[in-house]
Amino acid sequence: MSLGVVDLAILLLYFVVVIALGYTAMRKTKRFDDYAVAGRRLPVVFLFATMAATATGGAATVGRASQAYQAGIVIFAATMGFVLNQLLSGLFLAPRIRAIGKLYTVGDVMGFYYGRAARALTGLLSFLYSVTLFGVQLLAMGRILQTITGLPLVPLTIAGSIVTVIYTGLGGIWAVIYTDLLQFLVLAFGITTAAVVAVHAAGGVDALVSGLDPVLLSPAGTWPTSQIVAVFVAFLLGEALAPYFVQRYAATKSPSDTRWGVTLFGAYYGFYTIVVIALGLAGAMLLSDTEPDLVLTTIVRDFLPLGLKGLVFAALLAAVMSTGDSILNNASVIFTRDIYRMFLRHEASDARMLLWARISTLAIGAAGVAAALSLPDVFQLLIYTYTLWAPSIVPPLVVALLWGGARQRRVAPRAAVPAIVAGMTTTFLWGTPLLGEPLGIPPVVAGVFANLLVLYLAHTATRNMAPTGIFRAEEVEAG
Amino acid sequence: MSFWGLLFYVSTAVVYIAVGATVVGWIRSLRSDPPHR
Repeated sequence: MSLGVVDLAILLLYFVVVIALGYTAMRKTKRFDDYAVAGRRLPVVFLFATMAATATGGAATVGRASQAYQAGIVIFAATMGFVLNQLLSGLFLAPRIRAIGKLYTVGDVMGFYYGRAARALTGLLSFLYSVTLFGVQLLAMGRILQTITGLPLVPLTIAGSIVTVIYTGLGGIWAVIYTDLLQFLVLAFGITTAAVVAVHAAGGVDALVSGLDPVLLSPAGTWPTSQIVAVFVAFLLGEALAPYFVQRYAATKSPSDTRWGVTLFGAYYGFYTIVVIALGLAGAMLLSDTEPDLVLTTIVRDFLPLGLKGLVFAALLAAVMSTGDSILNNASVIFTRDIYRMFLRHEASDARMLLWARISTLAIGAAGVAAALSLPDVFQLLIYTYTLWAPSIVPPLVVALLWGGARQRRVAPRAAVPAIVAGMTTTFLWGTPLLGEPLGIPPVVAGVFANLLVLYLAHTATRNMAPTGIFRAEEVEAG
Repeated sequence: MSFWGLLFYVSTAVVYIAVGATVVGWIRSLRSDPPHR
């Protein structure tokens, strides 16, 4: 698939604009707080847009249209797991995280409730989680650029990565947020317009509904119930309280702003998914023999007018880049807060923290490219940390937030570490050939249950012990 | 209009409204918080 000169020029212009936004953001970034949490003055609308842009990567656009093309509306039921996750986070969890005080990372939240041991474990896991996902996004970016330009994968991945690392390193989270805003606007507008044009080309909604294979419009499609449940659970838990989301919850002026931004995003995401699914279904009618992963790009190429086509392709690339930059920025903040400051230099000055955040952005960027391109086996292993997030960190975090809120610590501090270890071990063992997923229960669900069980038992056993040393809860500055 | 039609057009309207509201919010934030200060 190749583009005309006008569309390629728009794509190139997009790269220039993104670097310029990074430079603008750099002038706004004077302290570590600016780099990590936007000086805690992120407006609701920015939180909404940055959440939408971060959550809308390649999978939520190209991938979702491809799934709708193949399986139909059943994918909507499965995706509702993510919508539910965001609505519940927005209403009950995110505002409490913001209300605790001046936090930056999930490690900070865990340190507040469970002390240094849990913070260290969380810091390490969230760092691996972010670095791994960054590598995945780099590869996806290279593939999208390859599809659009027809050029080879490796140089394109490196070129796209260099641009991402430069603007993220310069401007920190402000650069990420500005590019997120731009990407959200162009992609949401472009994809929705493409959906309207494609549905119209298929003869309108009613003609589309009567012309499609009925199985595509059946709520369960051809999927067995177990598959629907498994995908629903994966969406519900996979990115629950993900490190890059928690960093954003902490970046607003108030808990109320966080509640509005996240809840509105959760609701919006449901409607956006319907639009993308409609696009995939129109593709099923209009393009009979297309490779499913190319449905969205083919509709954009064949049905959108010149100019808008280039803009949407730029936005598709941006969708992947903006997920990658968010994760890169998040990984550098986790490194600076939870690893550098905690283990290497506890009394680091603000200027030094900012310097290390920038240095680590460059280092993680380079390491991400190297790992994604040259070490596929190591990389596959690392991807596993993504699966371990929900059954390890999420249960003790959610229980502490719901039970004690932002002011009280009700769970015994010693309970978190054994619960995290139990959750990870169960998830790992449950899926191995030795156990082979007993009762058909997905490993992640078994891990969450094991985690909660051990959390309860360890809490009951240690709740009367005075928290000392590495279990002493950390204080967080108000604000 | 059928249920499916209503669902599709309400969803597209929500996305367009979100885009419009974000543009308005961005412009308002530029006025109250200029990036070059």
